[in-house]
Amino acid sequence: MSGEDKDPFDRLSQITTPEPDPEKIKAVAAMSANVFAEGSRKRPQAPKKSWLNNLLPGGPWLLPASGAFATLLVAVVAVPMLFEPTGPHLEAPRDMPMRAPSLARGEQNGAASQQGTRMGSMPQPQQQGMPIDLREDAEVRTYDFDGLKILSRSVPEEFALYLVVDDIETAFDQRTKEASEEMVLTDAFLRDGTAGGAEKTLFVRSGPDAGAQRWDAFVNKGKGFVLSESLSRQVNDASDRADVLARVGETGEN
Amino acid sequence: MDIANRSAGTPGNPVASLERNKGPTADLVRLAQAGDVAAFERLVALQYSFIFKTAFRWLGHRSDAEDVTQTVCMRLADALKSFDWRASFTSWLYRITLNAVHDVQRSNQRRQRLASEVSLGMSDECPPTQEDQLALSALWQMVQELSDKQRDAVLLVYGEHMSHAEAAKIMGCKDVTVAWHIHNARKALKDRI
Repeated sequence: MSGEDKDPFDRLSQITTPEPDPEKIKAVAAMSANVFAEGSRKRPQAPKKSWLNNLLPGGPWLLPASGAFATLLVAVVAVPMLFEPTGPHLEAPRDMPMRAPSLARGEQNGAASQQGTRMGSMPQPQQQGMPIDLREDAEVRTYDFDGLKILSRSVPEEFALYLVVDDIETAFDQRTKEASEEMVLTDAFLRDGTAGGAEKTLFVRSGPDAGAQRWDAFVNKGKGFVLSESLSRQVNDASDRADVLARVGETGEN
Repeated sequence: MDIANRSAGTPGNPVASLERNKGPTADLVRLAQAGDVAAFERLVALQYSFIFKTAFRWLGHRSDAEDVTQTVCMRLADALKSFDWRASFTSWLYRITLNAVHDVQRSNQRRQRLASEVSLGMSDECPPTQEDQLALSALWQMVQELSDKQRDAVLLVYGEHMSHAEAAKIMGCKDVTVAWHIHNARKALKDRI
């Protein structure tokens, strides 16, 4: 620091920033405009008054009442038919296109291979370098550990984890990986703060499918879960949840 | 002054004078909110530099700044409709950018970037010596170790030349809270700077 500086923070104004790459500006502007156009097309229109509303001038309460009546009617007519030996076949015809699940569930690897086949979408050749949550080629899996929902996105060079609460994803971890590695989650659980503390800790066991699984700890200090390196080191090679809790209990750290 | 034409290194440019939701940027925002794709593309092209330079000042890495800029531009495609004109567009964009910066900083904890990777430049106003450059890098690195709030307050006020009131609008807090964060930042770094 030179002696002229009264306030050391003043030096921060001397930081210069480079000019952005004009080619990237064009590319990103075009890419985001595509997303914007897609969003505009999907944006829901103002709900129109349906023909049912016109038929039911009595008010909106009649709609659920009518729905309940219709359900009852279907049950009365259809349920006895199910028990008839010559009843209708409820199986879909084999050649009827079935709606594929959009996300793989847990360890169901087969469904995960559906990525990249979204109807109407154009192939995205320049996926590398894009944020992982925007990449069409990301393999998405959802996991449910006793009600704790975690979603993972995986591309050849990266792997990211998101906590899903009320269908809202919040990223809490992102790491690099080898292209040949297939990362999976094998367990996760939440632990409330100790001694009345408000901090929650999320423990996640993950790793290469055929390799060593390890525990990581993420602490929520009010701004989402953040990797706790010290706590992760303590529980890294724990054998199971009980072992994790025992190790955390021993140290008392949260 | 249009924020897109703003030089990030130019001192004395308070947010209020940068853009008051009038002018070409505001016109583009209005057109885009009405669904004009070409206006949106033009808006993103205009704002790219502003977002990139802000992200760079916080992150110190060109590639990280580019990642954040791309993320913010993509988010704008969906988020723009939620901009309600209560704040200035610049303040709103700062907030979105800083949120994306914080996401990257959190994920970078995993990557454990080395201080030597930081690629900061210095103003040409005073020709930097190697010592100056090292001192600035060291100071910047120390600022990175502050909490998010303290870092945002310090960089908005000292890096972006904002008043406490302008920084407060972006951080969604009171002026005195900004001053408090800066005070705490000084205290945290007292023995080191």
